[in-house]
Amino acid sequence: MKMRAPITTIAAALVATTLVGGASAQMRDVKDKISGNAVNEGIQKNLAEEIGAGRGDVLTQNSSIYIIKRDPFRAIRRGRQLFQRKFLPSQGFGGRDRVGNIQADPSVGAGVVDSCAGCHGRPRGAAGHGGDVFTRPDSRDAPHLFGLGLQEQLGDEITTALRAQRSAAVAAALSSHTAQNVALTAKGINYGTLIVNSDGTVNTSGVVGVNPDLRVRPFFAQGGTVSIREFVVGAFNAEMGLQSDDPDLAAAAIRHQRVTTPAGMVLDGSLDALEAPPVTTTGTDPDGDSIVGEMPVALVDYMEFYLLNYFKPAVSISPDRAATVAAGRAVFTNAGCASCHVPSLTIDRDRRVADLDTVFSDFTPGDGNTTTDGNPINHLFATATARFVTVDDPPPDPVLKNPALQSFVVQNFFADLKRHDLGPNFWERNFDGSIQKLVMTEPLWGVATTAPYGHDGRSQTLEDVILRHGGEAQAARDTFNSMSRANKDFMLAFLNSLVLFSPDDTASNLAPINPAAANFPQNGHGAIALTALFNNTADRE
Amino acid sequence: MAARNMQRVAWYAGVFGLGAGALYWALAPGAEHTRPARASVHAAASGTAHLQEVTALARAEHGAAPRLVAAYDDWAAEPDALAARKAALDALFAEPNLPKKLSSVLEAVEADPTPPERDPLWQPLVASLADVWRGDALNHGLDLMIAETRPRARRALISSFAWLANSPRARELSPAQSQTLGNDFIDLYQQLPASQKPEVLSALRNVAGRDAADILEGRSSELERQYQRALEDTQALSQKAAQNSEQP
Repeated sequence: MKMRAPITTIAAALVATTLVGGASAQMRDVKDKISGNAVNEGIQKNLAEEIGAGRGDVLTQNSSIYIIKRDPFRAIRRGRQLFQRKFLPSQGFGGRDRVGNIQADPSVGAGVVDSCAGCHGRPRGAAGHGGDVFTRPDSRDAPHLFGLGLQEQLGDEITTALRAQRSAAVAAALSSHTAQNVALTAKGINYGTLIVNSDGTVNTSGVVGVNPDLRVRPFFAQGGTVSIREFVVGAFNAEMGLQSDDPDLAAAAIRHQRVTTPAGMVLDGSLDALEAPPVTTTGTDPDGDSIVGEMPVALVDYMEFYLLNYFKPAVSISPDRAATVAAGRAVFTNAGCASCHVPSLTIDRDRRVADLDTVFSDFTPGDGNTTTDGNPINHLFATATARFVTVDDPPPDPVLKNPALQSFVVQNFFADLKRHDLGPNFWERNFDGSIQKLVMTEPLWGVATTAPYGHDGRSQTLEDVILRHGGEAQAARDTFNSMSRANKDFMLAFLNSLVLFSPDDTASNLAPINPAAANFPQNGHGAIALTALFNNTADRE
Repeated sequence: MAARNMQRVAWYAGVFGLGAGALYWALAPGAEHTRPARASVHAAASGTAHLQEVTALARAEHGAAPRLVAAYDDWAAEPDALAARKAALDALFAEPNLPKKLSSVLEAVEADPTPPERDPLWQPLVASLADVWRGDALNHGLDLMIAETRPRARRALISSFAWLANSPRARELSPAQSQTLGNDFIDLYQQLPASQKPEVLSALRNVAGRDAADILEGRSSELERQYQRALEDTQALSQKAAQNSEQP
């Protein structure tokens, strides 16, 4: 077993002869349906080719497990193409009769969209933000999905740590016959206290920011979902009318088993209440569109793996703004914002196969060195770094590329994975008239790109949404409000440095800019071109 | 590695020949310099034994690190063991494998109960750590500074980067590294012990300018004053323009 070299050098030679993948959001596959596409942009494989040999296993060629384990960057790219794919009615899209009790099933209020990118499509071609859906009376904005895998892993590791503290306290209480008072802390975040009585029973009344089961649920504003896989299967059904009979969720949520998904997420139905798939019997057609098997497990595997590995947001600070942004970061810290919007957290065992660090880089072709230049479109440059180990396998199969499972510092995250009461301005009505008061701390990475703000998009500016805070954040809000105009603007400048980006429009060490290309920058603008890392770079996704 | 360690240990043995007690008195801040000569003789005997033990450990090709760590920590309360402890620390730093080196050094640092302010080996430790942060190790160290949760080890890491940022080597940092380091100092500042804040503020001024440091100290920054003046000038110009436009 050996650690793979950084991607930097691997890609450089490859990319020169490799066509970069398509750059449009909400793409159609170009193979079967579309003519007149002289530049051949779009999804290169049709849906059947993407499904391939199904889930299979590590020895079944062209199966999702085989590709995830042996050709992981292809798997990521395939997930991305699925994310952008505009599904057709003949593929099961839509067809769902949206009637029913919206209190019991908020998704009745959701519209039907033909692609993931329809709601999570900005900036273009990204798993970003953009949609607004009527799953709550006052609707919610679709959040961006950058760094989603890091969020899932942080939530999972925090849960494990909190539960270990609970188990230790129970054991101590039972062995000593004395009550135990535990300060629940994980990754430096305080989740209140737990009292374990001498008989081993647990009093969770002092637990804060998480359910009494100590399971951190990072996804959705109210903190409702544990895993990317549940999120994906749920969204395919609720937003697109595509039902999956995912066997992993069925095993964990219905049969209460412990399963490990191909992306490495452990779903333990004996410990957690998980979301069951919409189809539990193969061959059933709950939406009555006469199509069964609308979302095969292989596609769910690719989508989960893609979002696990999806890029974290960028930090874009031009040199002339560096002092202002640093001052704004200091103001942010002094105001107490960082007590909930925690800047950095560490993952102990990172399941991703690569990391991508994206920062400001000016377009300076005149200096003779364009290898790390941003392009004139967004002035960003991304550096990909491998985080996998290879395991040799006898031919004809290619080597296994397993995640290195090293620790990883999630910089510029700005969240604590806890629920908070931010006061009436942030409360949310449910359809039954009750009020949802607790919301997860929104990670601030990428915030500059995601206007309008708040889970419901009802705040027009960053300053609006800051001043909207109350409740547990009242003091920090008041501190901000009392600042000089200068310090307020510094803090806003800092927040405006936390941006999203279009991967296909961002130069990287996988595909740097080429100012000599014809019609630059429409050609040669560089990209985060995972194609360069495929086992067979000529076989495009 | 063993040969290099031998050279180091031989040097310490030479120094120790001059008297371990005298060495300790020279290094320890505020040490009592009127200690009776007889105590010094005992200290020298004990210190010699410790140093010989470290010398033997440093010669060992494998498996010495845990015992060097233990020696470093077990003798923390023995003033006469200072040279031996310094030799143990140097032997740990001589480990060529970076993760192993950092693991054992930080384990030794964490287990030492001496408050950093009263630890005569703290500054040499911090300087040696700062010297590790070169090339790829620098980025690794920046991550480690955030990831480390053991308080004394974390403090040593932060101080080592403050040392680096306060040294001429700060100029060797890339713009991205300077930015990351500055951000880290800002993010960590509120959690620092009061005695560590000055060195971090000084370092922050070096890598990110004085304004962020002034703000963390609760002071008005020059940037803020300039900005306010610019705002006032703009407002004044706007008012003047409005007045002029009202005139026939």
